[in-house]
Amino acid sequence: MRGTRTRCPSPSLSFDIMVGVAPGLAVLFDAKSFKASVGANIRQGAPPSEIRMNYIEPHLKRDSLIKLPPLPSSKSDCEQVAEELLSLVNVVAKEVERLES
Amino acid sequence: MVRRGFDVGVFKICSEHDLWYDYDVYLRCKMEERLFCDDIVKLHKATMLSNIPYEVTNPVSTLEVLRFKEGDVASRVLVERYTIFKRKMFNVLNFNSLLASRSLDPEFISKLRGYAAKIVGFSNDEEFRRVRYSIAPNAIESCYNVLKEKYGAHSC
Repeated sequence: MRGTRTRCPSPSLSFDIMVGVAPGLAVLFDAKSFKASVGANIRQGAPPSEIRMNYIEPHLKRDSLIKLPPLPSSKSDCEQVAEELLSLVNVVAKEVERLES
Repeated sequence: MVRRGFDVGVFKICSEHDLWYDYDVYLRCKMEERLFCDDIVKLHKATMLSNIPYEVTNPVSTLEVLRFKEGDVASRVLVERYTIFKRKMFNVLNFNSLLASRSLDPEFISKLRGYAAKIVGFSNDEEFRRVRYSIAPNAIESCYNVLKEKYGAHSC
């Protein structure tokens, strides 16, 4: 999820890992608190596509913060981007393996 | 993740692109006579996905005059695509009745009309939102079901 313009996931989607990204930073949020916070906003009458990250971010539990190199959008080679984002890839891969075990 | 052997799927629910920052993508959309954003092209490339159309992995796609422009939707959104998958793919296009014909190539509009199963129009924010809220949730869910079938329950 990026910034305040980004729409929240549709309630029909399932997810186990939630990563927030911004230039130079990624945040791994607890997926349960994310779902609960989105659900609370929907129950209060907010249409899912109107819920912004800044409405729910204060209620989220952060599992980890990962510093990333800021990448220009011109850098589009997948291999290079993956290399630059290696620390995030490692954290997500570890989390997926933990969930699957 | 792909290199590490994970079966990676991609799903970008909604995308926004514009004529200013994404002009090269607009040219590509014109060439291919469809509506998609640059992010979904990159995601397909990164995951080596080729057998699912961009429309399914990105069921709601909005083409704007300028993405970060302040103001109401009717002054910046040109057209929004909703893709519904029910045994086959259907595209619904919601055109800005006032802006689209002034800002888009008429030939492209004509090609998009051929690409869409249904065309609707809006001239203010309320009409735009009414269409979006009535179609987008079904579009997202129907395309998500296609991906769930391919990748299993957790394909986000």
